Amino acid sequence: MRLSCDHTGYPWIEFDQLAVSLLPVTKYQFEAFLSEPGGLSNNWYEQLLAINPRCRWRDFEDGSREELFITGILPAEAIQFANWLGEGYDLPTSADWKQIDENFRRLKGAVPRDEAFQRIGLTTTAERLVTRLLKVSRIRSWHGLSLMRNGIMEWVHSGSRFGCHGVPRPTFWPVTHNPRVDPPQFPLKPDRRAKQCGFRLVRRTNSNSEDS
Amino acid sequence: MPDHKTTRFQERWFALANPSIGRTVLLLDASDASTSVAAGMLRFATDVVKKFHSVLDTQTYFLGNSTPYPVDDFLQKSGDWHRANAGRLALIGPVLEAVGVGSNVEFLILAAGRIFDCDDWPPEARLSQRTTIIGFGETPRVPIGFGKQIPCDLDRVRECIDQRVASVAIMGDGCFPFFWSNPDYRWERNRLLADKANDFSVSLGLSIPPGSKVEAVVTLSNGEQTNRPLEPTDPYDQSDWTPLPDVEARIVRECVANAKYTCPFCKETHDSRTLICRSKQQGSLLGHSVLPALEGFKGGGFILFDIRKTIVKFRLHNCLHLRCPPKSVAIARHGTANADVWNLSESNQHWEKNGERWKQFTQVGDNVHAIVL
Repeated sequence: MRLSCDHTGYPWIEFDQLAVSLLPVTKYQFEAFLSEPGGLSNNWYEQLLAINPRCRWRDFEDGSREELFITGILPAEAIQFANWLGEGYDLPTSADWKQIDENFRRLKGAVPRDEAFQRIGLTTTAERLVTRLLKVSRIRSWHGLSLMRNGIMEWVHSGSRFGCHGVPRPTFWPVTHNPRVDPPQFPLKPDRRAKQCGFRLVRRTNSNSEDS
Repeated sequence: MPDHKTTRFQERWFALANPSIGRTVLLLDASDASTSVAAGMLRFATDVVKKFHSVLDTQTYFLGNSTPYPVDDFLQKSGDWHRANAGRLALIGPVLEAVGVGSNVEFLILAAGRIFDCDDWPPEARLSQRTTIIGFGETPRVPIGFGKQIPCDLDRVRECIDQRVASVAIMGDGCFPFFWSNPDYRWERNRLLADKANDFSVSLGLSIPPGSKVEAVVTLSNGEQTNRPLEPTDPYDQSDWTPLPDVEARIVRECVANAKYTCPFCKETHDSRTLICRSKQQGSLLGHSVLPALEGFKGGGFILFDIRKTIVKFRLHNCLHLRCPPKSVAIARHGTANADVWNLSESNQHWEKNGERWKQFTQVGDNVHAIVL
């Protein structure tokens, strides 16, 4: 396992041949993408914030932590972000997602505090967000910090379709979904923005991983 | 040299840096929300640049972009810049990263809708107080209380951003200056005041009573006032002494020793107050200066002489106030060869004009004597 960060300054973790963002993609990361000229802009972002508002990374509380993450996004838009982030970034497959969940679960040892994140070059925003998340949500484990559980629903490739894995907190979006055994959930209306649907990205160090 | 440390008053030296009032950074919204109002926004921005160029920062920015654009090129290139930035999300963060969150700048934002990250910044950054927002089309949407929203009106812009320093007044209860380095300041109604200066920085020596707080009140051209602290500093060094020619050095020595001297022109004895020989024998209506080395300093205030065994040096004292230890300060009357003497009162409570006539060649330091021209 190795910590690093992407060019938006947010943390990544490397498991064998698959690197994954430690957290679902945040609004603040996505805003860096939206700040590029000619793409999605104010009007588009307003639609998303109407679904899931933006909270302050500096002093958010546990109850509003889901507002840190970009949701209401469609898979194609998530892939636009991945392409902007660089070559090799993509949504995980359903199998990837399950494996990542398992990898985080198996990751032993305490979550590092501020210094470890400083060393990998996180931006101030990312560093503050991670350390505050650890504090206000009383998170102790890597799996807890990853928000693979108690986070949001996350888009995944599932064959030629897109589905979602995740177990949000019931206060945000109640589900009866067990990602360890269930296939991804498929939205009834794939083009409709859903409050619970965000994403995290992976980057492969080999290309053998396929949906199972 | 005796000083006021033996009294209740103390001599203290302070410095005031040129009060740097924040320049205003012009920010434009080029997001998709601004598309329909872009032409009007650019026209207004052009007027702002033309009218307030002197108070604008040298760089202008677009929301969502940390790249600076030189304000000097704004009139020619703003259309191209706007097109190149079209579609950027309206964020102030990238600009703050470029100019520094804690920098002493104000922001004038021409916005068309929502600015998304206004409340990301901590209260200590004072971003809200430093920001003026003008809406185009849609009312700007920012958190309640963030910034000052004004209509699209150049007069209102002037009120908000034209913040040149109009005057600086340095004052403190019972304080009395015996020196200041910047001739743009004057002593007026118990305060040291400058109101027409390009540079308001100053070093000053003050006689101050214990417990007195000295501060500078900076008044901006829009009427706002701010208090600035003065920094304690070392005594101001004026070490540009010039040797006096021998003939003149002899006259100075005689004046100091006897309050009179033998004139090199008429060979008569003159009182030390008379530094022009108007003897009829010399055939000049205006007379001859017996200290021609000082000719250029007439009306300039005090001249100091450093009198040593082998050499006499002189320099202009660049201030109308001159400390005369132990308990006096002389104030030259501008443009005249006279000065008033102020003394610290017997009770050491305040300064008062004593009515004494200024005595030329008064000793004001070790081997240092002064005249007023």
